[in-house]
Amino acid sequence: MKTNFLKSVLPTFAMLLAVGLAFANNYTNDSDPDYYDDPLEPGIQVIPDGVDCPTTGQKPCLYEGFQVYDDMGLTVEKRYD
Amino acid sequence: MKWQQKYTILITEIISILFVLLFVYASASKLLGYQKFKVQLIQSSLLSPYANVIVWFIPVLELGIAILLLSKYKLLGLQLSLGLMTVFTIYIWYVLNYSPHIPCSCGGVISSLNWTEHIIFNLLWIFLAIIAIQINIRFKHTVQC
Repeated sequence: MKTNFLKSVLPTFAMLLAVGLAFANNYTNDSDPDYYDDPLEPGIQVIPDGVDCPTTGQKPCLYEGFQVYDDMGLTVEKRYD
Repeated sequence: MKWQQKYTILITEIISILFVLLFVYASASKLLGYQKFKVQLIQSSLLSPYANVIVWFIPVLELGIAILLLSKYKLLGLQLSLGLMTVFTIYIWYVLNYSPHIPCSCGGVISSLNWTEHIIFNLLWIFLAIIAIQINIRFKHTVQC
């Protein structure tokens, strides 16, 4: 019984707990979407979860090689130091 | 079974389950925040050329190690855990000392930790992995004798 608990119940519980925590963390860290413009695709492309770049800094924050913007109008560039 | 053997098995099992918890959580977090993780890799001066590969490789490796830790290849799983944590710690140390740009640590395993605290956190895991490997090897040796 004790061995069974260690070998099967506890690992299953640990895996479920880990996945649950990951989902919870992802939900609480849910941020605004960001945008970029790929000339080969029509319209503005959306990054639903956004990126972890501020709007200040010297280096351009890129996604798939394209500049990421904070707004849909592509006026506020995302950058980082 | 002697009580000493019983407790050594228990310690290895507990450490393995803690690693499973860590790796499944880390892997699921990376896969759920795929885009954020990819941008963080692109921002890293050391990893940016390999970002497209690493963004999948690391979560799959973490899941693979978690599966090994729950299988009969526990020792291999523990050795790979030690290797992965060591490589990650060396990477953080390199970034802190030599990288021109320190990427934000947000979205990491423990998002509230800064990079220095992350090194201490990793060292604790390395210590746990070494203990579990030693116990596992000694226990196997004792059983063979």
